[in-house]
Amino acid sequence: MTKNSIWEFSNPLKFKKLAGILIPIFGIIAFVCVITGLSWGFFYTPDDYKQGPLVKIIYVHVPSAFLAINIYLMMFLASLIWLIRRHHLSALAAKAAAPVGLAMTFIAIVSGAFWGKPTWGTYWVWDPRLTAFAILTLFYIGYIILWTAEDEPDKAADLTSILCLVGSVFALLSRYAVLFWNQGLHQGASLSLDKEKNVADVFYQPLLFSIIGFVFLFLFLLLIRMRTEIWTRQINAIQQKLGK
Amino acid sequence: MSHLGEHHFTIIASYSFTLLVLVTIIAQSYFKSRKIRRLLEKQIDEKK
Repeated sequence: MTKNSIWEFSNPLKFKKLAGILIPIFGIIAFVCVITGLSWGFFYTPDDYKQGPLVKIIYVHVPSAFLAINIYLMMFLASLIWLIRRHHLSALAAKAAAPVGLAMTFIAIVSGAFWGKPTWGTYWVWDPRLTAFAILTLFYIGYIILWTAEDEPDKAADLTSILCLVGSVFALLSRYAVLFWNQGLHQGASLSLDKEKNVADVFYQPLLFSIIGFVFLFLFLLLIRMRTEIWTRQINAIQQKLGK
Repeated sequence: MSHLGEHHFTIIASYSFTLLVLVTIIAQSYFKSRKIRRLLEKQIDEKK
């Protein structure tokens, strides 16, 4: 009797079959949660006592920043799996996730800048969290460029994985810098396991919907992009066989 | 948009930019996937 294991899905055929089932499900959950979270936050939440209506930016800024950091940490794990176990699918997962992560960093930076101008008086400040986030963005860009610069897929996966491991320090700094560097304008985390530190319930509930929606949107895009990468490799294999 | 007060442009710009980026990345992923799938099907037919 064969033992079921998560590694079974490192088989591209099994993965494609599973992706075919999960893509529409994740797409529907993402659509419903993003629309609910954003419209609830935009139309039906009260103003904050300090920031007024500007607090509504939280529903786009926090989910995108949360994903920008966590997608990089997911890429870190996938890169580690590639380097240790040489599963091609893990390298493809990291490659497929990077452009989505970069899109999330752009959303977080631009929405943060829009939020910063009226509340801090400036679009940008070189405080520890923002600086770590800016460096993380550069690692995302470098990672994507490095994949396109090397033609041999395994060598490209090795190089990008090492770059990803180095960059993960800045992903962790973006997340935790506020805890051990007190200077800087950026506030502490909006979400915490400690309920006392969370934002008020009236803001928390739509924010949770928005975050869940963004997470499922990422999973939806990840599966589509991984499947595309597998098809691309199949095309390359056929072309090599035909001697093109 | 009167409930947004004097900051209505800032808030709407944040939401618009977010939706624009999300739609762009969804469309890019979908159309690239469709293009590659068609190319693969064509290659498999040629191979046969």
